[in-house]
Amino acid sequence: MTIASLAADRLFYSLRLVGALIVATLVTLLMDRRLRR
Amino acid sequence: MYIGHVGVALAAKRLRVSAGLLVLLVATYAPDWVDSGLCLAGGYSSREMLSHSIPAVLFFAVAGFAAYALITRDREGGLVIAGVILSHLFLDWITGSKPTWPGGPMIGLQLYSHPIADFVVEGIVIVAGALVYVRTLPPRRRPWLDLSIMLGALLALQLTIDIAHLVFKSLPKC
Repeated sequence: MTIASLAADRLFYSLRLVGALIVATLVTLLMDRRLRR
Repeated sequence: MYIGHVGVALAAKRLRVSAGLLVLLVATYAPDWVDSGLCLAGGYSSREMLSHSIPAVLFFAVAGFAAYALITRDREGGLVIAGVILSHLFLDWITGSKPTWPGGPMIGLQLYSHPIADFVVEGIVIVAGALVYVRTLPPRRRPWLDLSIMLGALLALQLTIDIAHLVFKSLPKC
């Protein structure tokens, strides 16, 4: 495995995890805001 | 566990209504934020020792309690934040396989290998959390319709993740 593919895996993992965290957080906050209007 | 952690944050809102939902969401995902930060910074350990082991999560819980109690002068709220952070560990033991302590065993039911069972368990936590959370809302004409939209969105997210687990059997880790 090359250094480039290792870095790509790392970036892909981080983006996947951070993306899931941000989407879950934003969806919940947006719905909460709507429900409290 | 993925979206199931949101269920804990929603339920915790009922325990401490004054606590902001954003703070509770950051607390419930604290080990995962650390995990992704370590990965990006190149300090990742393959066993998630620095983010998901018992000592690491205990440290985050104490830090979360101290930070929240210091900023808001609300110790009981700080305990709720600490509890939410600790819940991450217990829920991950159901769905994943996580480290205990340095040199210790990995423990967990590893439901990620069974995406349908994972969806059922995460769905139960999400629905239970939302049912507790709904009591914090102001009176509305159609509260169940709005809550259903929130539940639908969260369950759809979880379903997407479980389908990804079904389709891509082994997604690359950090």
